[in-house]
Amino acid sequence: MLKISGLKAVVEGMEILKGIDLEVKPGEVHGIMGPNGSGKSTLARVLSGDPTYAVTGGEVDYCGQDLLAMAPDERARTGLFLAFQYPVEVPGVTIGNFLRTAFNSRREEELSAMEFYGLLLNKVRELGLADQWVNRYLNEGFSGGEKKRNEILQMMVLEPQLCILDETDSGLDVDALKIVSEGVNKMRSPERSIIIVTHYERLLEYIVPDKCHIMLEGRIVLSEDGIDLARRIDEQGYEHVKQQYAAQTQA
Amino acid sequence: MPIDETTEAGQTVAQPEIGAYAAGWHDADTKYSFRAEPGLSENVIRQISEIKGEPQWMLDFRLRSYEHFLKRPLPRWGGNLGELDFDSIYYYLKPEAENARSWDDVPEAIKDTFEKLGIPEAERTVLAGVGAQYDSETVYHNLQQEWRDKGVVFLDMDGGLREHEDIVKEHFGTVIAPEDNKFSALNSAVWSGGSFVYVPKGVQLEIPLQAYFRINADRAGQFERTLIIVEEGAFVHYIEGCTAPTYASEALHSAVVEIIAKPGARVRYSTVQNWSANVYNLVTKRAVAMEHATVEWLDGNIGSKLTMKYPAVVLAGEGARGEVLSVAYAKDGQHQDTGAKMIHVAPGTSSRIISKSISKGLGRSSYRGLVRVHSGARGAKSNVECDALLLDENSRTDTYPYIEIDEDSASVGHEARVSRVSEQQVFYLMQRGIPEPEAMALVVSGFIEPITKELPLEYAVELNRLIELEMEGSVG
Amino acid sequence: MPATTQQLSPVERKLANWQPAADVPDWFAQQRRDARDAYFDSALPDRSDEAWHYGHPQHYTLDDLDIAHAQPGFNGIRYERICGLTGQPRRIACLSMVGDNVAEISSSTPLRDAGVTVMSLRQALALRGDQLQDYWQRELLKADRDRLTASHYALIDNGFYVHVPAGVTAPEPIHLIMETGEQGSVVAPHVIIGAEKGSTSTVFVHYLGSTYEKRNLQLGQLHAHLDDAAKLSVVKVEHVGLNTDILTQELANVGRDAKYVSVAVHFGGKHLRHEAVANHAQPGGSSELLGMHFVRDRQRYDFQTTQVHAAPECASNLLFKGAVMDRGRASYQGIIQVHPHAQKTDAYQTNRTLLLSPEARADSSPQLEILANDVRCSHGSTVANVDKDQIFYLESRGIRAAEARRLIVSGFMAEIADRVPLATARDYVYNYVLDRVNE
Repeated sequence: MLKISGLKAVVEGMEILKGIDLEVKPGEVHGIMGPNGSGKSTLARVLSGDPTYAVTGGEVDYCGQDLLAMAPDERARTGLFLAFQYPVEVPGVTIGNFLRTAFNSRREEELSAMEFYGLLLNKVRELGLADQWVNRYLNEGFSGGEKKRNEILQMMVLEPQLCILDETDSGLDVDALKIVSEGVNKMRSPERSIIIVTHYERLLEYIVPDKCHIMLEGRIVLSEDGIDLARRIDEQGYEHVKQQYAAQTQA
Repeated sequence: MPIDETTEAGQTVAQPEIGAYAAGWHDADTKYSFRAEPGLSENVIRQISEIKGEPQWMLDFRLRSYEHFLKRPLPRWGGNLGELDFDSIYYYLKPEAENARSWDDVPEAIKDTFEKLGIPEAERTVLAGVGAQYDSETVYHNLQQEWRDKGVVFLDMDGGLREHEDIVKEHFGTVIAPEDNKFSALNSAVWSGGSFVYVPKGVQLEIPLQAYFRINADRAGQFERTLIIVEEGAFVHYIEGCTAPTYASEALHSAVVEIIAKPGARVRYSTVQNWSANVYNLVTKRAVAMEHATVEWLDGNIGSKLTMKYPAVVLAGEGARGEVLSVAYAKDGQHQDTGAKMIHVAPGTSSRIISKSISKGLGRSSYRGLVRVHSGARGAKSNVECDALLLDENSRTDTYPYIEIDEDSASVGHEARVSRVSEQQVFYLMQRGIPEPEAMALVVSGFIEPITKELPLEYAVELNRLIELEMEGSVG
Repeated sequence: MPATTQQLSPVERKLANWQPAADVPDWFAQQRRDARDAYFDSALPDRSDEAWHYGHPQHYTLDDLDIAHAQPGFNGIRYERICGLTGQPRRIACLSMVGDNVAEISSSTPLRDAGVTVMSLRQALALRGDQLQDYWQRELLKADRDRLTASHYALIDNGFYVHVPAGVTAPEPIHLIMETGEQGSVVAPHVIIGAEKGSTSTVFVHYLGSTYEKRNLQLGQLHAHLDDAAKLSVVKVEHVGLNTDILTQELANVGRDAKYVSVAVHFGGKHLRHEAVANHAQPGGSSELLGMHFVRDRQRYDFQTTQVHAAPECASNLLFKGAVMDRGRASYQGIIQVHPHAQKTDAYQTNRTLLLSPEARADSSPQLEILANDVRCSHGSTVANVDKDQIFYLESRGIRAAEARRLIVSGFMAEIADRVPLATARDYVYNYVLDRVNE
């Protein structure tokens, strides 16, 4: 589904991604962990086409297409979804109107307002939100937790092929985390891949990954099948991996 | 010379110069039973009055106004009026049509125009009454029987003068004197058409009245005059829509609207102005609000070459409330010089102004407003918020508020902000699959949402649709 | 030149017959002649001119006035007042001028050692003529703008010149003191401050004067020129007699990455108009225009400010705060102008006025003209009495209403007063405000 090779990116003249290689197959869930500043969120944003970052090298193949050649909205319409770490506020635009526009943008035939709102309200209730939610302005005045839930709601409505969750667990209490994870787990399927970018292992206990990767200084330095790598990080911290990595690079 | 002179009557044609302006066709075969010479003279004014068969006092009023118009210099502020040629304008164009109460009686060509604008359809579904003016004269006016039975009067202004001369004589020109400004003097001299609305004590008109103004002829002047009197505790919502064909030469629309809201009354006046880009729209609108009355102006300015319009409320009675919510959209070649005036005369009065403007390309939108609190207006409160959105690198916005406070117990605040559409907002929407132009339009519609949500749904949709249409091609 | 001299005031007759002194440079003599001609040829500003929307040009004319001839002499009261403002004058750099005569009160060795020049305009014309002419040509005002501006340029006989060389940090503040002349006279002091590349300095400008039966007029101008990365703070305290009309103009050219701070404190006077301009023609500069005023009796104050952004990536901030008592009236009209291509501009403008008595009046017109889109610009204006809830809150803690009001008003002013970078002057400002609120 996704094949990243040698991906490099800079922001304001600073190289943040220094050559990322990663392959995600259909149906897989990957966890990407790393300390602050390791470039894991940058990877998520570069994949979604954030204009803040400039790609300086490498390739990304997405279902046989050159992902980097596509505009952000094209990437989204072909099924790539980023749950943002800090979703931006868009005053005056209701969630309902916004999601209907986004939903219809990827369909040949538009769904009628009635049908769409029926679908939307089901998802809203699934996430334990009140119906009024759809009339709120997009992220305006939302708490951190509300913003995160709203991201997952969008993911559930838009049903993307490749979901990238950027620090979705931060700002969520345990109950909210459970609800959000349930939502994500329901979406797991043999056709859909999920990349979870996180600082802590916690979220990966709820959404158990097929593979875990550790990022350091703009590179993926460690990859393993299953969740064990994440659990080791939880117990030992990143320091151990850093030392290992430093020793490796010196050698 | 109209740009589309070869067009057959009634055909909607694309206007390459103006692109998205959908109301830009004109009806080539409209017949006029009277067309005054271009230019203004005492003779033209006497002719207008004579054709209308007016009482002497109205003719005197017109002549007095004309005298002032001649003396009064053009305003030195606001937009550029240097190219406005008063001598080439036709001041009176009477279409060959009587004021009808049924659309069947309206001449086909004119009826077609209003059909295209969706007026008869709206009348059937969402309105209590409709008036339609074509150039200088009203061609259609109707109020549903239910409201006629309750004593509501909704006539064209000429009809109002004929049938209710006493009420008209008592109020006409009392809110806006001819001497108020050059264009109120002009309107007072040559006015024709417009609406006369009278709502008796306690009557609540739950659904709106709508007046529709259409300029059709080249170099036409339209000078409608509206007087709305709402008695104690009554309510009315009056909606005004305006369009014109696109001609190469300038047209002039200069209306005067006077509103009198008696104690406890509430009046809402909504305008969605979508004049073509060759129209000078120079309008004076003012209301007087008595004790505990409320007057709300909702003002959407999308079209015209230059609009200068500052709806005003004189808060004359204790506890009166005034509100102006306005949206302006200016694209290349357009200057929207709009705003509001709140004059606090009585104690306990309050006012609110919210202005949202959008400038695209080389468009210029200016907020110009006045909040004045007179001595003795104890505890008066006023709050003004202006937000400007600049879409392009060279778009222009201005803010010219004037705050004049003569009362120490008043509390007055003004704030203005200028912003552009943020890259991150557009990116966020695009990440959900929405193409860039739509994403921009969505952000813009969100920007004006605080105003559109106050409009009846059909009009909010219309306003958003117009802006979306205008936004097309805004992302290169 | 006037056709007839019959209708002229004494000062106008002197202007008509004016001949330059032998020792002034030609360019200066010429500019005064040109300004004199401009004065007689030009009209008073028209009130339809937006910059005079709330102003009254006729308050600042030369009618019935003569040129000031007062000799500098330091009597006890004057001396005490200056000490109150500046601390001990013997230990600081301080030049004082009465009418157009300058006397040095004290000079500072550290300043001199650092290479900082503080001299009268006449001295500068004789000793630094070329340098002065260079600054003169860069002034943002021209004599032929209108009759009032022309009258200043035509009457300049003296003033001050401050020069801080490149890279120098002035070790202490510089004080310039200007007093109005005898009754019925006009003064037109002209101050030029040249802050060269990378220098840092603070200049206090004190306008003092007494109240006479006959009207006085003060037409003061201050021009600040900041080269690249220069830092300059100008603090002005205007406290002249109650029968003095004042038109002061303060203009700054803010260089690349330079930082200009202006604090303008206004008390006293009868009619007062203060014009301030921060001109950003080079990228990266910042300016702060701060003002506070206390208007009482039948005083009429009129402020007009302009923040010009002609270059990208500059920041300007303006905050003017005023309190109005009795039958006073304060008007503010100001504008932020962002030129095309001045992207990444940050510009703010705020005017807040407290109305403290039933017959007090205030007008405010903060304006924006924005012709570039990647900018952050906002403005705000409020006019109100002291907040009743605030008074109630303090009363509920046992503070009497009058005391509560005093606290709130001085708190309101603190935002500006605290920016006065010298304790003695700050105290002077505070004490004045508190005395007025107590009255």
